[in-house]
Amino acid sequence: MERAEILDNLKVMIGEYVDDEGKKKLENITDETDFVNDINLDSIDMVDIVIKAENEYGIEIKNETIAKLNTVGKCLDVIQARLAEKEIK
Amino acid sequence: MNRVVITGLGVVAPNGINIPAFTDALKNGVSGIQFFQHLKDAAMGCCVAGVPMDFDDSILRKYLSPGTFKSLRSTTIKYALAAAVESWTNAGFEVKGNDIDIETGCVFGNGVCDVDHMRYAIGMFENGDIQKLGVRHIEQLMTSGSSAYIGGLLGLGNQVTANSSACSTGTEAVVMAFEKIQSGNAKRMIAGSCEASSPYIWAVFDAMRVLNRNHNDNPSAASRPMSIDSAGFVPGSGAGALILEELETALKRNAVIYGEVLSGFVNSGGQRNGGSMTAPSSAGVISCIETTINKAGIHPREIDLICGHLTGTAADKLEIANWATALNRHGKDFPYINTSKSLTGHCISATGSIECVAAILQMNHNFIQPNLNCEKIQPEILEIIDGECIVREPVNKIMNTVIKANFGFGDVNSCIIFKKYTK
Repeated sequence: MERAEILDNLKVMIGEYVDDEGKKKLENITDETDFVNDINLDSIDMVDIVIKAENEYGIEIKNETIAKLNTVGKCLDVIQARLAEKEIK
Repeated sequence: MNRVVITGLGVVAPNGINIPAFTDALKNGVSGIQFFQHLKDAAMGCCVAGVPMDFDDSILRKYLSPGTFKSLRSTTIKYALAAAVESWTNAGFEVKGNDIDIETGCVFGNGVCDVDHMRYAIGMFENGDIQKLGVRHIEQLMTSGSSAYIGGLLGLGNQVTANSSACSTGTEAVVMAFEKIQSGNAKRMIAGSCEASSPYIWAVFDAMRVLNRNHNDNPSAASRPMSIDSAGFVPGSGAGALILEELETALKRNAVIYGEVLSGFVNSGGQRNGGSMTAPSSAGVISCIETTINKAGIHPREIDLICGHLTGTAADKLEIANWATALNRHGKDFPYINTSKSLTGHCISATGSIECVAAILQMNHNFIQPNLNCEKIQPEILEIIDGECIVREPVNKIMNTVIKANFGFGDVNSCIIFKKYTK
């Protein structure tokens, strides 16, 4: 799955958790965008979003990895890596 | 203002179900964490927990009427009663008589009631059997169930109440009891907190992805605060109880004094400035610690040991940074720091009182309990403090002043300072 497609899905998922200002900021997010500092996402909501992504893509992300997913780029990297592992299996 | 001392201790912990057993477990770094098949069968990621395994509720039979004992289902209350009775007898009192003791009260907290018991009652309702349920349930399901049972057993006539502040509950209860005696509104208080061994509560934390899933095959290695490969906390259960007493009253009856409470403080970070429902605001934590130290009238350099909250999650390094800032002590100048969670798991609302008991025992017996499973410390922590401050083998050390804090969901904080009693 292409990175851009995962990003679009991620934006939809995040959109459910942020206010209008955050939604506007979502349009311009980059790999460096910090979920908490840049788009006002609560860190606990980030866990919820990761669980949604796990269910959406049929992957599993370790707890200790989730705690480190503070930016969009890191999140996309992990989802892509888990999807690649899944294909190999 | 009255000076307040500790004259009794009681505990039901995963690694020791009374004070002598718990003291030995702390001294020797004995873990109480075990694997549970029923957690695996429930599809939990974390299948280990700290449960007071040898706990036998028949010890309560001699204190309760047959009817009360028979109908007592709540593990929360059973743990609370056992710890409270031990602390009461440890303080030199007997459990008997019909008199009302108007000088003594109780603050005994919990997060929720025993959810397994609640589920039983709901099951009866769902099956249309509510008329068969019986009469002894609401008293066990109410938040103040534990304090009410303790108050009734001991005939307490001062304030009898329950506090609830998530993982800060236990230490908050001790601070509340301290303030009650310090202000002259009680001579003596039983302070503590309790948590049932409920998979229904642990499963909710598991769903939040904050429990360690990596050590189901090696339970004693599962609770890893401050470790480079910590991956979440291990849930636990039990109860801790302390008898706090006005100094003058304690001296009058020649009570054994385990230590003095110098000060205590409770606050909230307001869920602002980095704080949220689940994350602590550093400003709130630092303010809580600084205020407690100021109220004690001591210099931070006098602190010999920090008994931290330190759960084994990503928040450990932030907690260390907050301690260093509040104490203005860094590197080798930082005090020793430990947490009994590496041995017990995180006993949630019981954790503060169990850890206050652990803090007093270490100060009183002059030892520092080792932090298990911390062979390699997180590098971010080592940028703030020297690795030798994190005790990994049992250490014998004369200690005079110990500071203890806990932090809970809702961005709530509690901190307390214990000192060896001197005239």
